[in-house]
Amino acid sequence: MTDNFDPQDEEIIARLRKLKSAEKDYPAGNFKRRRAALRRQTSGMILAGSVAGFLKGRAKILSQMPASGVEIILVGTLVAATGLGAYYFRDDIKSWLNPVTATPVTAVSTHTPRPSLTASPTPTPTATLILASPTDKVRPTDQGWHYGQTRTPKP
Amino acid sequence: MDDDLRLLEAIKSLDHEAIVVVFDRYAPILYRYALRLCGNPNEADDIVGDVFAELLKHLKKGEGPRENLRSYLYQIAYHKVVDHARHSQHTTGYDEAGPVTTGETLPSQNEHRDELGMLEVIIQKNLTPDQRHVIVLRFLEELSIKETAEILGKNENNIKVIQNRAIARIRKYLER
Repeated sequence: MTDNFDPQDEEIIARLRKLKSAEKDYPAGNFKRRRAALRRQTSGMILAGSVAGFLKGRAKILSQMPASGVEIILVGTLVAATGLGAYYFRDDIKSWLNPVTATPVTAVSTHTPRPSLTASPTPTPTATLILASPTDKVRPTDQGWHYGQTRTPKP
Repeated sequence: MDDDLRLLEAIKSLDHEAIVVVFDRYAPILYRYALRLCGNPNEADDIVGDVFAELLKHLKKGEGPRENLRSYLYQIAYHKVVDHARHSQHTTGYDEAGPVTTGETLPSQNEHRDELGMLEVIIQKNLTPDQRHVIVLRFLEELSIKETAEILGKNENNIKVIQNRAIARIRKYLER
């Protein structure tokens, strides 16, 4: 301190400095209470500060990027988020967008179709009555054989 | 002061222990400063709490003291003292040069015979608020003209003028 005072002023200043010795101390109880409160405040603040610092750092990185870079990141994020959402809700979206062409629900019938057994009329064998004339010879080996009749192959 | 610079760097990086060290070092000093100006122990204690709450708030925002930790803390304390005085209406107005009522903590009439007690009464009752702040900061807290100017938000020449007027007034009352 390089102040120059008059001798009279010096005397007053010396008296003023004596007042310092008459000062009261900080009450110990109040001091401890304030100190403990400060410790609590700083603990909370440091935790909150570290989280805020992390977020601020990320924001700073974005702010330092050129505008086109930021746009690319934002658009990319938007596309990725939309894609993920669309994949997750793909079935719902499909039904919302096109209810007409949606896969129809297949109704399963419990009725087992049975083959219809409509009996067709059995042809009735018709017998041709050939009356043998008295002149015909009875040939036991040729019995039943006639001209033009296809010979049945023997087994 | 060298130690203060290290502390300053440490509290800027929110060093928990450094903040507590700052409190241990400055809380008693600020308490006495506040008590001298407001005259009420409870109010002085509140002011100390407010000063450190403000310091933490500034540090959290990345602001706070840049060079001089001591004058920074005194500056906050000064503003808190002024605010408390306004709210509790202990004074008749900080721009007025009238006497200041500080209640029970003023020395009693018997103590007026005592030289120091009389000096204290003159400071409290017969100086303007600016003069009182300058006298307390310069001669009781032993801060420089520059630091006092920073704390009160005035220029150094202004502080010298206020200081000289305050000393002249004290002398006048002591000679009566």
